[in-house]
Amino acid sequence: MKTVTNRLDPEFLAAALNVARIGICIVDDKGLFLEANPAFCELTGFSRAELIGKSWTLAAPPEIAAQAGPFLRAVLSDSAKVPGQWKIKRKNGGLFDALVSFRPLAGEDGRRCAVLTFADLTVRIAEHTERIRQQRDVLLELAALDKRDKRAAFRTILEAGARTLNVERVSYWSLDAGGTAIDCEASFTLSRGSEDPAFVGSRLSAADYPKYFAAVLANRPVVTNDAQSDPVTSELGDFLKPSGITSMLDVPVWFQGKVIGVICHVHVGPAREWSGEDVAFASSIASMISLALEESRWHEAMDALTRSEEKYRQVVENANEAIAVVQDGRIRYANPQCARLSGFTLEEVYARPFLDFVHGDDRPLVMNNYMKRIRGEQTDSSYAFRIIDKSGLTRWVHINAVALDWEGRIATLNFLTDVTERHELQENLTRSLAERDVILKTAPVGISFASNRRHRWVNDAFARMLGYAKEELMGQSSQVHFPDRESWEAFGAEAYPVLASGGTFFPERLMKRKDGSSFWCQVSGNAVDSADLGRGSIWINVDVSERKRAEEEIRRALEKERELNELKSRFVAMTSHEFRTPLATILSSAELLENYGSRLPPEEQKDLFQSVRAAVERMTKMLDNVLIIGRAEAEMLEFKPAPTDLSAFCEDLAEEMRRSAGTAHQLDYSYEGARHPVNVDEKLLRHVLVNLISNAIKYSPQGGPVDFRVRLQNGEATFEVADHGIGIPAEDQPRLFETFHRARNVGNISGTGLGLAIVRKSLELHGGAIRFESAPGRGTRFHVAIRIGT
Amino acid sequence: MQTVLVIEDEAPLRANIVRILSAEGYRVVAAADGDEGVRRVLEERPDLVICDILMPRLDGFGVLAALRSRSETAALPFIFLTASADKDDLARGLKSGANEYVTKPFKIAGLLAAVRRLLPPAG
Repeated sequence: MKTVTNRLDPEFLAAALNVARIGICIVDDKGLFLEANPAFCELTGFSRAELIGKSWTLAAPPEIAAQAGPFLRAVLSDSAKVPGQWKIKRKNGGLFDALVSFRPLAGEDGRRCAVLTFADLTVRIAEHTERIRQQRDVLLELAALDKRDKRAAFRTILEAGARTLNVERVSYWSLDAGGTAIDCEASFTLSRGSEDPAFVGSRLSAADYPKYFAAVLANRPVVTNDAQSDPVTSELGDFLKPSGITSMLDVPVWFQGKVIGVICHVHVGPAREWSGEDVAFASSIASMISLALEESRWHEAMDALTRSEEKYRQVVENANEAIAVVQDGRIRYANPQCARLSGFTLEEVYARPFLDFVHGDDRPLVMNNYMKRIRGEQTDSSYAFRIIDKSGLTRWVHINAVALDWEGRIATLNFLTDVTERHELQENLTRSLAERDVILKTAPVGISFASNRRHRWVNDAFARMLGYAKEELMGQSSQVHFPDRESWEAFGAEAYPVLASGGTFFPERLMKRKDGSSFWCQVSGNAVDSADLGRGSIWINVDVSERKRAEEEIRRALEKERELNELKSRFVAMTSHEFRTPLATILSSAELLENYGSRLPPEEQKDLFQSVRAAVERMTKMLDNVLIIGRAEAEMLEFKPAPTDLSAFCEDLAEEMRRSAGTAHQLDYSYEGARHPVNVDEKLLRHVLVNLISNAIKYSPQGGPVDFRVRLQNGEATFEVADHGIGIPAEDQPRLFETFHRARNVGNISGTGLGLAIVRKSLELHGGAIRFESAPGRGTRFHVAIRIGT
Repeated sequence: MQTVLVIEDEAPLRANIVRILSAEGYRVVAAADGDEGVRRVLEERPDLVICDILMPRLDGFGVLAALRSRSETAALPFIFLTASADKDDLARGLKSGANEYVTKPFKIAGLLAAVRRLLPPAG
């Protein structure tokens, strides 16, 4: 280009003036237009003719026109004070901004003048302003964008960025944790009008593009007008060239104080010169991305918080327990259950100090716990107290309390449950348990609870009854206290039908103690639920051994009494019989003697008197027997041995018996052994022998032989009396020697049943033994043995 | 002369009864036990039988039954001589066909009165 000199080349000047798109004018030292080109005329709206020779203030804004003189002088002296931008006044009065440049010149005539050029900034400014405004609008929109949906927000932001900056692609790459790679998370491709899926997910590693990464990690925009050749981005060439990328503008994305990614603007086509505005706008886009991240994260957190808040709220509002927060002695929060629990509305609950709701007697306790808790001291966190509900009733409440921070200050969080019923139940239960325990402990009867034939629980008395410790019986099969398996099984077979029908099984059974001994037990069993025996049964056991013993004794005593009475009656009857006959003899003899005595021959009279005597004797003997047995049983008989000639004694006795026996019987008597005196009690021996011999005679009514053998040998005297009479039935043999006892086969043979009793007693006293053999219908043989001393 | 048969196992008493009746003019036959008694009744055909109840082997009831079962002695006057004061025994005795009973000990007059009631004096 030719340098412009101070001398005006008219041709050049004219050509330049006409062609120039900028307004050019020349002003002389008086400020009058010397020249004005068409562009200037267009700019100002004046025609050339209107301008030439006129003052420059025609087109000057008021503020400059006011200072026209000094301003002109400044221009003519090329002062640096002259601004580069003036407003120019148009013909119609409108003002427009112009970029001004000027140069003082020396004119043809040597006078000073100035060349001024004016470029209309309006459009440019307008454009600029418009662009700024547009960008600002975009940014405002983006700012107002609901960025909760991160992805959508990114797309919107990147699209806005692409369109506004008019770049082919804008993409957001996030920096990975180690800062070693960036991943494309979103992008907008202008020519497609949408995301280019090929991009999203791409990864660039620091290892591959160290310079680029270094620049990015420097946390400042990377602005390359010629990306392919710029040293920072040239390494991306493989990436850039195929896509025809020429210019790149990368701005970092900040989040919570760190760079977490980069927005990458790529321009396709002729290289582009990024302006400061572009960079500023791109940075704003990056900020938007940050904001989007912030906002989405915040929203996520808020959502999570809201959700969890919602969850907590649901929990608290729907809890079964009443939940209340107490602070400064007042209820600051109460869930609906508090209202239900207390009968008050929530307003009423909030209206009064919490202690107002507590029963007077419990206020000190509750207050004390509350104060301690507030102060952080150890105290009960779980306890019960009474409240007065709206209707004035007392209710028991169980509280679990803990201190917490509520809106910055200490408070208590309280969980309350109405335990009124439970409390009453508990009291009742405790009371009845206590009662039950007392009953069970003191019950003298054995009580057990059993199921499936095992004792699940027993009381002390039961265990004691069986001689076990309680623990030994718990869980044990009941078989353990039955005599044997059969009796246990039989018990079960009998019991369970009764229990199943809802009745009481009430038997007496022999039970076995731990030590093996047995006792009679009155058992009483009931099923807990007759429809379901598996639920078990309750058993009451009473040791009735004593009772049974007593019963048995009574029974035996009664039996004995009955027998005795029977025997006594028989004896009385018998005796009366026995006496009546001799009495009849006596009476008839006496009357005969009285009435006919004189007429009777002396022989007959003698006979009569004799018969009287005999009868009396007989009665006396009988009485004696009774007396003897009486005395014997009263232990009044005495043993008084004296030296006796046994042989003589026995022989006399045999003779006596023979005489009274009559002809029907033959008494065979024999004596064997020494004949020296021996110590015997004759009286007792007589009782024995007389009774045995007279029995032998009496109980062989057919007659026959009666043996009477005596032997003295080796310090022992044995006596044998045998008959062939009616014998003694087996059933009567054991009781033969009992008082009043008479065998069942004696028929009408008279007898008092005392004879053998006397024999036994006498031998007892004397010291001796007796045994017998007998067969009914065949006869009886008695053996008596007494030890003889000298 | 009327014949009385006496069945009594107690000898002294038997002897006394024989004496008493003989003194009253009766012919007396005596038996010492029931079997002998029945035999003698059938042999002697007495006009009256006086019989002790309690005897070994065949007792008074047995004798009575034996006699009453025979047509010839079914109506024979019969006096029980009993040591039993038991009303039941007495009732039983009368029910079984005895005509009278006399309890021991008896007064001679009582015995004779019973005899006379059954044997009106001859002639």
